[in-house]
Amino acid sequence: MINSHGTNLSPVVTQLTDELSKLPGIGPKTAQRLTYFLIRMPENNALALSEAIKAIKEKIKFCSICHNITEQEICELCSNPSRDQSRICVVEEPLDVMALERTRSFNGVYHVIHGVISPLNGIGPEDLKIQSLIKRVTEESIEELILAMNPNLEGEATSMYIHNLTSDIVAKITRPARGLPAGGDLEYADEITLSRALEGRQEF
Amino acid sequence: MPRPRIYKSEGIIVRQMPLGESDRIVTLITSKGSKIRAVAKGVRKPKGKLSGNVDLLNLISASVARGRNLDVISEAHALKTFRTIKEDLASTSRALYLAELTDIFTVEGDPSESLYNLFINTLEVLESGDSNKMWIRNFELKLLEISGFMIDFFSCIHCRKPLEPHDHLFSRGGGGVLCPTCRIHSPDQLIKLPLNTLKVLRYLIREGVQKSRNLSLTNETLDDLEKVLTEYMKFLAEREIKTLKFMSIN
Repeated sequence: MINSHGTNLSPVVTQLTDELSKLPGIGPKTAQRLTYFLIRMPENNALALSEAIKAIKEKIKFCSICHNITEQEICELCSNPSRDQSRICVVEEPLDVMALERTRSFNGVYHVIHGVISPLNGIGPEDLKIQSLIKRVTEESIEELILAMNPNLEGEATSMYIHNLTSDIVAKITRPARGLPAGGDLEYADEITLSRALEGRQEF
Repeated sequence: MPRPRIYKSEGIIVRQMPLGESDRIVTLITSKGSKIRAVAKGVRKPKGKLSGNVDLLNLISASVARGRNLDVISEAHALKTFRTIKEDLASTSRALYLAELTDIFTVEGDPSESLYNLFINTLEVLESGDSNKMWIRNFELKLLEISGFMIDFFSCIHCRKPLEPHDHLFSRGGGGVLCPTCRIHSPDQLIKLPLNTLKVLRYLIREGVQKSRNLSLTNETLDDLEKVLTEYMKFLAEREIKTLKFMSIN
C-alpha cells in the first residue's frame, strides 16, 4: 500500500519517522536515519529510550519558585539552605541554569523566565515568567538581581524591561561582564566584542 | 553569464530565527532595496566569528555564498549597530516596528531602494536620540506613498468632493476618507477620523516632519493618528503587526 509519503514503507516506520521529524533540527532525512538506527538497536536499549521519554513527561515539572525543571514542587536549588537566597540570577532557559551551575562560581538562586521578549515574534512580557519574578523580589529580601540574558537585542530589551520594573525594589541590579572569550585571539574578535571588552576593562 | 557563487551585500537585519544548535536564519533588507534570507552559521556561539556582528537592526556588510535552498553568510562585518537605539526600550520598540513594516512591504523580487532609504534614515533619527512619535507617523505615510497605497486626506473616496471641516471616517478597505454622507457606502468597519487628526495628517504631509514634531498635540489626537495609520498597515499587511503591542507599552 502506498502511504502519504508516496512510498510503500510500513506505517509503523512512517509513523516513527514523522514523529522524529517534529523535533527541532531533525529534518526528514535525519528522521529516517534515526528510525533505521532504532530498528537495528537492541530491543532493551530502544525500550529504555521510550521509557526515558515517558518519564520526562510524567515526572518533570517546573519549580513553583524559579520555574527551573525539577521532579519536585520546589527544585533542589531553591530548597537548598546553603544557597544564597538574597541573590537571584535571571536567565532565559533551564539550559542556562545548567551552564551557570557548571562554573561553580555562583551560590545564589535562579529565576527562569522561559524565553525572551521578542516583539517581532509576538512574544511580550506577559508570555514570560516576569510577573512571578516581580512578585518574588517584592515579597522577599533580595540584595542583588543578576540579569543574565543573552547579549543580543532581544536579551538586552528583556533586561531593560526587567530593570525598569525592579530598580525601585532591588538595590543592586547587575549583569555578567561582556568581552573576549577565553582562548580566543584578539585579532579575530569582532569590533563590538572588542569595544565592549575595552569599556569593561578592570585594574590588573 | 552565470551568477557568481559568492556575492557581497550590505543591508540591515530585520528578522532572525534560530536554526539548529548554533545557527540563525537572518532576513536582510539590502541597500539596493531587495530582501535576502541567509544562514549565519555559528552565530549563537560566543566564539563564532559572526557572533557580535550579526544581530537584529545591525547594518552589515556581508559576503554571501549562494546555496541550494538558502544562501549562507560566510563573512559579516557590522558597519553600524545602532547602539543608542538598543540602549533605550522605547527606541528599540519603535525601531523593531519600523523593521517589521519594512520587512512586510519589501516584496521579494521587487526591490525598493526608496523604502530602504526611508528605513535607514528613520533609524538614524532614532539613533540621534529623537524618538518623537511623529517620526513614526512620517515613516508610515512615506511608506504608503512609496508602496502606492497613499491615502487622499483631501477628498471623499466615494463622492470625490473636498472634505468639509468636521469629523470624518476612515475606510481601510476603501483606502481613504469617507464624508458622513457617504459612510453607508463603506465596504468595511470605519475608524473615526476627528477633524483635528485630519488636520495634523494634512500638515504632516504638506509641511514635513520637522515642523510637525513641534506641534502640541493632545494624547487623544496622538492616539487617533496612531490608530488610523496602524489599522491601515494591518489591513494592507493582511495580518497583525506583531511589534505594535510592545511599542504601545513603551
